[in-house]
Amino acid sequence: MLIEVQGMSKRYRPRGPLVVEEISFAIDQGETLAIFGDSGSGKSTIGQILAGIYPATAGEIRLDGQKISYPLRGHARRQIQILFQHPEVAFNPRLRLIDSMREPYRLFRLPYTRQGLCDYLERYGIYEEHLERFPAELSGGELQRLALARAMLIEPSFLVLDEPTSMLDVISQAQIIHLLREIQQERQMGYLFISHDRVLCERFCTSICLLKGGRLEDPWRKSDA
Amino acid sequence: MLEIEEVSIHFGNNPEVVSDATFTVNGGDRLAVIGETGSGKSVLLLAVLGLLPASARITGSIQLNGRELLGCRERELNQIRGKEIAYIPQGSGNGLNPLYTVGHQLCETIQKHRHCTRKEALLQAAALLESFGLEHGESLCRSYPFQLSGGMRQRVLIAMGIAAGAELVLADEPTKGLDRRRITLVEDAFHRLGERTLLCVTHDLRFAKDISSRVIVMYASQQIECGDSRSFFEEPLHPYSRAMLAALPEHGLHATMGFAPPRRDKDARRACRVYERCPWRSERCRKAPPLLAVGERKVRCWKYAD
Repeated sequence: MLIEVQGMSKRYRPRGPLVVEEISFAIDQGETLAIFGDSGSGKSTIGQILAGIYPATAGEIRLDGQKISYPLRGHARRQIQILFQHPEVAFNPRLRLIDSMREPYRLFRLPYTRQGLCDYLERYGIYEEHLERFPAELSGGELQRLALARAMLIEPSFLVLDEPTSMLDVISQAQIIHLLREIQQERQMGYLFISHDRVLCERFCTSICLLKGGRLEDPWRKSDA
Repeated sequence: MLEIEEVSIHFGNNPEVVSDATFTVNGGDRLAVIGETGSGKSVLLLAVLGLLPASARITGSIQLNGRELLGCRERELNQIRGKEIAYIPQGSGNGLNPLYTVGHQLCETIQKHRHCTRKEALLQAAALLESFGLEHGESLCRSYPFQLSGGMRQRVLIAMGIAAGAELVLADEPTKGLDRRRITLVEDAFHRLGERTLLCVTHDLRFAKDISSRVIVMYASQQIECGDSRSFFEEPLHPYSRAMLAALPEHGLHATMGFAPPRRDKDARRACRVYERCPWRSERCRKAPPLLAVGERKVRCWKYAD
């Protein structure tokens, strides 16, 4: 299994309520698990714990069979990436996009050339001219494609997709989903897809779980239907 | 009721953000303006309300019941906004003041346009909230915006928009950021608007289909298609409209349109605005097409010229 979550719970304050409770699931290579539920049901909390943004209060997470802990370091930090709902907050508003795109090269010591970056971004529909702009000068769809390209630069094996298309128009949504499918086929990646759109989950994911009041119901597999 | 004729809007020396918008909203119409972010939909709404920043240059004519709104004084516009034109902002909650209760904010609108006491205004506010399916209107009036869910906040905004009794309702992306269950509640609230005239800007096609009787599609600041809602959703004409409907999850999430180019050079600006992305493009499309009549509908595509 690529990712295994066992008995994960989270409370934000020491005596506060459990936001998510006893969550367990597993995602294999090439699989997409959808966690679907209303606003406030705890979907994003699960995604953010997996991406190493918060520690879980209880439970364990395994990546390729190895237990991982907060904060994510080394192999785990590289292998798990996240795409947020609001692409505009994923980029520093004061930096030109070229500078934001150089950050993963610096952090993960990747060989950088401007031409190499432009060639890489071609499949995401981002051109050299876009890179000279600030985040506010791009559309939501363009920024989200750039955020996906940045996450994929370091070749992760697992992506948390936290409502990546809910703020986008339908054509931008279809373009992002199309790119995600292509990448998954090429690299056998695992995805955790968080959404409140049931029809979208059914179309895109291999299995679907309903999250209600912080508890996860049994997954429903498309292949079983 | 509302006549928009050849309205173009520029900011500074930048290319126009709305180009030659021309349409009429008749009394009782429910018109949805759909299109992607940045296509000029929201700017057009702000132009009707006279709320564009000073840097905007606007040409053309916007008439409400025969009265020209462009060039109106601020004092006249203040009388029109709220009383004749209601405005419902986006549902993320930014339209409500976090420091005041819902009742306080509703009463402010009611008392501004109607002569009544605070107590009478509060009673009206509670009744208005209940008419939009929000239970316990009186106790809701004592709540602060942060105590409400996104769907409740949006319905409060709808109630606040029409509190002064306006007949024309303008709504800007009322379902943005809401989950499906809450969107259903907002749809229900829109159905409760009754005979009021609606001009709603949205990129949510399912919502537009549910609430509208007519549709206008905008792309890169231009109207590219308009017609009645039923025939549009059954058989869209413009290749961009077709791509939008094909991209819906229930229609298979097909990505049939290419990526938008970063900038359009001089030649491209003379061409059809969808040229670079269009699966149907031909040599003729290097010249911008006019809005052509196809039966009762209109479409900006050379394919329908013959």
